[in-house]
Amino acid sequence: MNRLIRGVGMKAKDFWEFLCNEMDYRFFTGVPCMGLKTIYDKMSSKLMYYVPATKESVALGIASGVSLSGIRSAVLININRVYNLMDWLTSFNLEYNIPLLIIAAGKKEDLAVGSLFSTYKIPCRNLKTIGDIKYITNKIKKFNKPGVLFVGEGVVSK
Amino acid sequence: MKRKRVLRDFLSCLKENDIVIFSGQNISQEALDYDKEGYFYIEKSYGIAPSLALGISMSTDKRVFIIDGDGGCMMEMSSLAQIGASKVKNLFYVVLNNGVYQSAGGHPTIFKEVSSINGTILGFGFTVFNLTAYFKKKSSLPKMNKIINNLRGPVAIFIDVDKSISKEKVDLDIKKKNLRNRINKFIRNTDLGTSLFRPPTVQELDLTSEWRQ
Repeated sequence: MNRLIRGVGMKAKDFWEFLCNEMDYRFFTGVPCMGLKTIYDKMSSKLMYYVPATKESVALGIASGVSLSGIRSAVLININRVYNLMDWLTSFNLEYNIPLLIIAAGKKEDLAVGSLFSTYKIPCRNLKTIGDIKYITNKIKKFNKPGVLFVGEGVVSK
Repeated sequence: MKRKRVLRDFLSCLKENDIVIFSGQNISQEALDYDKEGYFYIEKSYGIAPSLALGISMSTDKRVFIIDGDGGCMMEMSSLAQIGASKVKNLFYVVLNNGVYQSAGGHPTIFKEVSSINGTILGFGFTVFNLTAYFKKKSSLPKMNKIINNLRGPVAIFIDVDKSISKEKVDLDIKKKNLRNRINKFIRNTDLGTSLFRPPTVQELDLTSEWRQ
């Protein structure tokens, strides 16, 4: 674990173990994309419950429902599909203060979408080390609102 | 049939520990008169109710009802496919069909133009009922009560209602943050009897073991 805190990047297995065991996220839903392939490949049913969703907005709705029940939940999407979420994210999650982790994968140039989140004061963090997962999950817990963890290309390896 | 009367009659058939999610501005406003701890109102965010209810029903064994309009039903058909595939037994989708977008000025929806909406939703994996006839006669309410309380989800219930809405408009003055806390507390509350809710263990959540090892 120390190796991960010092260096940039991490193994997919460590990513899941930290998010599920340390941060207590147990429910995941989303739509797969190539950017999340390494993360998806290391998913383990021993750690989490995953529901494949028909589209991003449906994933957001399901995760919000689970979150309403008091279970920490997250949505996995491609950053380019984030516009599919923005309607409900702003009119539902932000209005009702429903916490949610959005794990969004994309290329460096896609980071510009981050400005969209800052417009709505949604915390957004670029994943480099395990510390970034802790940072964003703590923000979500503190403000009771959705938060975005941006996973760039090659940050999470097999 | 007036929608408010249908709402009153339908809600009278439900149990104390049922969760009901009202979707849409007018439906939420009308239902507010019958407000209970387990009721949750969504004024905006059209189409989110089915997927939100799916998330709730996955994490509790209380019955979850969605009261939606025909406009909301057509807006996110993919969430109905998701519910059907999930095969959740405690989810009930009730569509009050008035054929128009009531809160947006009464413009028509395409609900009645779809050749077989029942067949489509049946194909998704729902059991489909049209209970309009039961609401027309007050004497058939006990029979309807029996039907509703013996259903296993996922179920879709269609009820045709009038286009007219009640003249008294009540503002949804419950603070949304309080509404969230209230429903969260209600879902976790096991005092009402039949609920067995507790945060699921990883072993219990292991429904997708064949999906990833």
